[in-house]
Amino acid sequence: MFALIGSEFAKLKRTLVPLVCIAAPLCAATFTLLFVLRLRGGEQWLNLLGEGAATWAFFLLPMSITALTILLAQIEHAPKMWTHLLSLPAPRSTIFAAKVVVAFGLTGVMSVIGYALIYAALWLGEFVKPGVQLVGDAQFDELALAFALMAAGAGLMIVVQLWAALRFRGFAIPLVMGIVGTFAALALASSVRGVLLPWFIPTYVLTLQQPSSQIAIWFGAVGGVVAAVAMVFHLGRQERFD
Amino acid sequence: MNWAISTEGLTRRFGDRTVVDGVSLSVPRGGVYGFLGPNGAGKTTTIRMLLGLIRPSSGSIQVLGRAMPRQRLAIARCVGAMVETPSLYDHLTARENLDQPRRVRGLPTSEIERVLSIVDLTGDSRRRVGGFSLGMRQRLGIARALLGRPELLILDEPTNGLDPAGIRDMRQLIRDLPSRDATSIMISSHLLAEVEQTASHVGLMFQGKLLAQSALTDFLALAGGRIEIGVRSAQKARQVLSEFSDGITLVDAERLSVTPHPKRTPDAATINARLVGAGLVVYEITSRPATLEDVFMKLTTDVA
Ligand SMILES: Nc1ncnc2c1ncn2[C@@H]1O[C@H](COP(=O)(O)OP(=O)(O)OP(=O)(O)O)[C@@H](O)[C@H]1O
Ligand SMILES: [Mg+2]
Repeated sequence: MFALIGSEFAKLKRTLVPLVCIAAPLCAATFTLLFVLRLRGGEQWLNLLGEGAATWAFFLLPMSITALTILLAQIEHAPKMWTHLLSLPAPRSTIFAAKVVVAFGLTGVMSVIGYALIYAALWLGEFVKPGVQLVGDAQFDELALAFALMAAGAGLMIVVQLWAALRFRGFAIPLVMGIVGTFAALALASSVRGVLLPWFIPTYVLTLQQPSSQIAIWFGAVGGVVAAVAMVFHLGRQERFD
Repeated sequence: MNWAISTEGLTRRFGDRTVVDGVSLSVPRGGVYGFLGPNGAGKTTTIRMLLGLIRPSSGSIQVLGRAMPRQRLAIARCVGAMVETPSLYDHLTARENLDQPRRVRGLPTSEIERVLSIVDLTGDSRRRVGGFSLGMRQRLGIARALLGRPELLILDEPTNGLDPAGIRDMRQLIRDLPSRDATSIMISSHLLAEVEQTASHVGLMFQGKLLAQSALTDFLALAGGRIEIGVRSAQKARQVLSEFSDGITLVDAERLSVTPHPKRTPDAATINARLVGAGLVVYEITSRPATLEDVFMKLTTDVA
């Protein structure tokens, strides 16, 4: 299993995966920076960090997960690698389990980068725009917790996207799912609460004070693990991928 | 006998189509088994079942003395395979492509050098596979199948798409393998000409059924080959030779094709003497070995 995970990461060399892992956090940082540059005078750290976290939860996290899972699956679909992979002396389930581990791992890496770049953007904004001042507590712990919980709550979305991306040889279905899911979540944002749409779950981190939000995050995390087990079982029994 | 592969009544249906129908293979250890059949005969489907990639609808499979699919992992550790055109990661180098299965098989990195040198790709091992020619890709596919010195090598159409030089190199490679690594090899193809130079045993698939299976020599004797004769007045020559064979056909006014009778037909020299003795001008006598077409025509008409 460790050998498989190692080789999964080794395969990502020269693919678009590292680019996505940098580009998505960079987008979040850019939005945050633009927001700071529009300010005059002082502003609370808390508000600015909230902007950054919302951009991440509502848009960049689901879109980048859509992209990453499609890329992870297409690495095997494009060269019709399944015949080779599934004839290796490794249980079929571990081949797919390794993909899940890599998808979770990449989301974690992306979240860490996103966290760091948002602070970098805020400091840069304060530095280049005369008169702007960030006031109050910098909330390092709180934002770290928020990013960690968004990644955890994204578990179900990661597995659902990965499942579709691996199941179907073409990327149209997972791509449409990801886009529709993301925009459905955006549409839900201002109105409904208590919806457990996978693409919507990470946004509950923005309202974490409410107990229902905490339950939703738990649902995303635990649901991700349960869905991963189901996915590994289902794909392990599938005969043809091409 | 201890077989490398033996199947009993192996059958696979897709929907209501029976693609592999009651196939009982016996692939001997230590030899090269040519698995022949025209396009769509069911060769690849059979191989997919042997590798545990798809489940049989019925029948049983033993590979290296173990049951497939129940002991797939144990079997997979001792089997190397290349199915159809090898799938490779174009964005990785040759070496990186081999590193992935090497890790999974738990082999030392020196194994990569070994297989690269067997297929003569050491010099290109740090190039990206996306820029490889078809022949190089095919060789890299073989190298990947050779990782860990498998006891059994299963190659599905390994010369597909290769040029004559590539086919010759591949043939040499396959011929050398059993002596090098004591490997049993099963190689599928739709070209007998290719298989007869490497194989010790042959099986012929047709419309999902295994029509014949035997040592190569016995197999070719099934069709018996032909004797082709160029002679002034083929018509007259046919009358002269009629006692030797029932299967004499006129190709054109000056050419005859004789299907030898196992007892009655003499060798080419005797035929020549008889024709010359009858006052005919003979300018060519050739013994043509049986081709897949001959064996094929014979076996399929026998079936029908
Ligand atoms: N997954 C599948 N679903 C339906 N039919 C299939 C499937 N796989 C193979 N077949 C059919 O089974 C038949 C045999 O195919 P197979 O690939 O085994 O032939 P083959 O002997 O390898 O031929 P070739 O020399 O062209 O490679 C074909 O008619 C093919 O259409
Ligand atoms: Mg085939």
